[in-house]
Amino acid sequence: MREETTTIYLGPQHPGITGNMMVKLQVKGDTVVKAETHVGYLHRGFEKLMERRNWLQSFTIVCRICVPEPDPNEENYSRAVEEIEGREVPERAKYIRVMVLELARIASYLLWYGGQNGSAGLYTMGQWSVGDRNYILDLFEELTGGRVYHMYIWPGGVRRDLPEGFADKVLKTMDYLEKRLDEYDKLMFENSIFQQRAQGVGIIDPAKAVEWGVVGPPLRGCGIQSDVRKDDPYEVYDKLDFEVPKIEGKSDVWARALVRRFEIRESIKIIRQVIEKMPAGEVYNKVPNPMKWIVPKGDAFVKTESARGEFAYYMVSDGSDKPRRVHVKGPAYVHGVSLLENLLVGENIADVSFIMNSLGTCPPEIER
Amino acid sequence: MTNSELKNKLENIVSGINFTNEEGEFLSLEIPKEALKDFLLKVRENEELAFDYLFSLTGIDLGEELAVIYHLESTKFRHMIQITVKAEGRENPEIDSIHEIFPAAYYNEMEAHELLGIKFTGHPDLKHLFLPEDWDKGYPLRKDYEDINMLIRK
Repeated sequence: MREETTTIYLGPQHPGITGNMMVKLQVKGDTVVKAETHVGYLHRGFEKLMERRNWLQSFTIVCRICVPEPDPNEENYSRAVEEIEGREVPERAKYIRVMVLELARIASYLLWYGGQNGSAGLYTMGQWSVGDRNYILDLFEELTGGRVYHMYIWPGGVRRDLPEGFADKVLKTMDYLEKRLDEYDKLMFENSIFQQRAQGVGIIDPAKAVEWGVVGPPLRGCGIQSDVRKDDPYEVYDKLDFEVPKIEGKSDVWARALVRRFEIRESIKIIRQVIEKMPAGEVYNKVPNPMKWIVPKGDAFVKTESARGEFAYYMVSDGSDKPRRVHVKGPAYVHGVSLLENLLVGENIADVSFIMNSLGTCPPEIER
Repeated sequence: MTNSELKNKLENIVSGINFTNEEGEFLSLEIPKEALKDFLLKVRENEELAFDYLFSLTGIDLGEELAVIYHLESTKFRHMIQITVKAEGRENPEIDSIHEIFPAAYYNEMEAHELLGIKFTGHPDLKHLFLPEDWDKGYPLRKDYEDINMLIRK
């Protein structure tokens, strides 16, 4: 019997996830012995670009950092600038921001449902959930003018108020989605093929999760109730009623799927509360002439809970019309590189992209 | 724990800390680079502080020198600190690697080395993560880096 290992290159063209990255696998038979990630196909240098652009110009590029879920970037960037400047945001704008963030979370999870099932060979689910995601993108199009990139949440508030009748449309879409979620359960969570593929695969050691820097659904899948919206509330999350899932059992792909299943319902709950509680008033605290806009000296660190976990910006201003340094710390940086390399060892080749997807790996966000 | 309580606790445990901002969202402090590893070990092991989660590591060009900024959080108590460590000079900046204390730092250090040229002593593999392996045009995130394609002359 030969005891040699073979090298397989997975990627770099969309290896079961959105974006381009490569995983170099050493396999023995069909078991992975060693995995090495290679990123660098999508490095666009946003952090450097922002140092050359003024404060408002930088805002237009941050949404490109993560393709499936651009809104946490806009919110983080805006909040960091507001924190350095001490700029007040109107109450109504905060509620609208939360609504947009939660809609984006649902859209991102629906896309994730499609990807996760697609990498297991179950394509019906993808057709359904990505189709339903379109209804949310329609809402975004009406609200912001863009389907994927919105450039809507900006320093000082949001770009414009809700169009007439928009809130009713959102509520109608939420009612529709809630019904669909029951059907998703039948197709995905009660499906024995998905159950067998997901259970016991890609187990994260809960004792090591925190020191590795695991965040978001994978961390909650380990049974650790950690959510920035609860731990360090931003915008108006402290006034809203929602729960963080407590998952028991193995911290495998199945647990991560359960986290998302729970949270998508919580997001619907949040959106309904936001629309009910939203006060009337202004939505934008106007910034000065953007070409002459000086932000005072200082630094700020802000965190958001995105669909894949804690998204953070560290921003330094030296008192000029451009940022001195903006550091973007996305969750996929940990999940897609260091955690993935550890997790893939001992797994089957067929499960590689299945595990990658379950972690919410997003290469454009790793490389920025 | 509030910032002033945190400050008192930290002062009791380690000496030689320079507190730079106590008013902000979280306590900012600066420590000499020789004291870094010792400091991190102490604040991680201390039961009242329990800083067990490194959530960000940022390399920054301060003009005259390069620095690394660490953000630590305690998942138990939810308090945070921001630590600045200056690498003296621009020619040959060196800071101790902390990947043995916080494994999450491993790839962040690789990135700071690649884009800013800060050498992390004790890091086993400082290869290029994003840039081509044969990149020899300097360190892109430094302020004196000149990119011909992106240059705007005023």
